[in-house]
Amino acid sequence: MAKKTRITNNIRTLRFMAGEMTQQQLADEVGVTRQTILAVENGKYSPTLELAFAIAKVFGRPLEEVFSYEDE
Amino acid sequence: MHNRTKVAILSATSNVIWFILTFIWNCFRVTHLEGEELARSWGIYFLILVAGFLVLIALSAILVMTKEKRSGGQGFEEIIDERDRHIEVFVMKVFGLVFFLSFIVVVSLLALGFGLQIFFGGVAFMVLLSDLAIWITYIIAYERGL
Repeated sequence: MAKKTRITNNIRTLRFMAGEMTQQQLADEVGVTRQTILAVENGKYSPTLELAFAIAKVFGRPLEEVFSYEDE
Repeated sequence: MHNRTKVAILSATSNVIWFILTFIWNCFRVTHLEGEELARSWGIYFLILVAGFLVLIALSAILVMTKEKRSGGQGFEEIIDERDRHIEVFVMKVFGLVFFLSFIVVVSLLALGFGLQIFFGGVAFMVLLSDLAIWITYIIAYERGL
């Protein structure tokens, strides 16, 4: 069973709203692998601030609209 | 499944097989040896063991990357990003810890008077355990997340 991080995100929804942008396209935009985007989307990896900002910038949204932190 | 997971599974499996084969072969070689001859024979065995590990790891990586390339993936041009680097650092920490703890156990065996055959056998298992720690940590990190 995958270990989930406490950081959740709306990347899947935002990709859909951005004309069904693929994970590979987003990965290319921010300079990481498709597997890393997949891991971030599924909550298996918490991105660095730099990557988080880069992803938010691709969608033209503020960081808090893309990522949120869940309290225990 | 991540390419590195595939490489890790292949490497771990082939390394265990290589270890079993060479360990049995070496046991027959060193049974009747003592002193410097014994140490020299084990030394040669360790070189063969580690060289075999490295060759099998390289072959596993080449096999996975070639298959990936043929199916239209990035193959040898695979990007290494922040997640890969994060996992690599974690893997090295686990490797260091397992290597250090098993080293303490092996040296303790020598200190407790178990003899050179047991000591060298222990070192061989220490090498295998440390190697497996790397691959198992890679598999867990990529498939389950850290």
